[in-house]
Amino acid sequence: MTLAEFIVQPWSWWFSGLMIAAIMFSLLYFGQTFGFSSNLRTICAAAGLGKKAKFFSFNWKSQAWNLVFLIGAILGGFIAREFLSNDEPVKIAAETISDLGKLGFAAPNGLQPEELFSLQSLFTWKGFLVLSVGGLLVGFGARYAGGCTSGHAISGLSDLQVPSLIAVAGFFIGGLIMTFFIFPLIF
Amino acid sequence: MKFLKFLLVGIVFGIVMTKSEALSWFRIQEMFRFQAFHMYGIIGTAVILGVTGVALIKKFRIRDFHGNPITFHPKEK
Repeated sequence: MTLAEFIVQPWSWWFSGLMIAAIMFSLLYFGQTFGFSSNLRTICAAAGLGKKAKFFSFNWKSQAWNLVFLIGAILGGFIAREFLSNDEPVKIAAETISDLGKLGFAAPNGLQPEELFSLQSLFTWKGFLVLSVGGLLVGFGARYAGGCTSGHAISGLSDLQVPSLIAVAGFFIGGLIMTFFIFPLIF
Repeated sequence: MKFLKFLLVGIVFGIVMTKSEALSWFRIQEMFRFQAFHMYGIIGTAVILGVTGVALIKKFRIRDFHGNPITFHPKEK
């Protein structure tokens, strides 16, 4: 295997987990905490919504570092996709491909299904509703719970926080309900 | 320039989420259908290392690069 081939293959679960922990500790070392969806509240505050709701009334500039982190994450995703990836589809389990096939999803062609995440899908009523209502629920839920997978599952659980454990259990139960009960109704 | 480090850590985070495939809808479906270990392995590794590291930070009162003690804020109940 050449070095280039080594770099473009997907990373193993243990190396990925190690890197996520390394990111959390880097942010702690720089005097901050790892929590990605806090940015949603910061953006609303920066947009001036503090006048309308107390929740958005705080010194958002103290959170500007996290917005920079967010921009970095977008850049990083672009770099990984353009320069550090082969174009092979994500290798998910055969059972998953078969289960998703029954719901009308083709086998993976990349990292995301075009049936959901594409301009073509966005310009259909169903695709538009799924993406916009889904985005709204994710945004509201992450703030209502006080965090998302990064703030609760990684930062919170690492600090053995009970509210985080409850939140993570909630995310997971929500995901199961969506996958097994609501999904078959939509697709 | 004080923001440059956060930009760099952010770039690494974006690369990790992509290269680990943790941001793939297909991987998330596979996880909720209990058909692969991949996502559980990622989160499990991160949390085990996180719990260990945070305990060490508290035990040895490790300071951040400003020289301030690293503190943890309880999540709201």
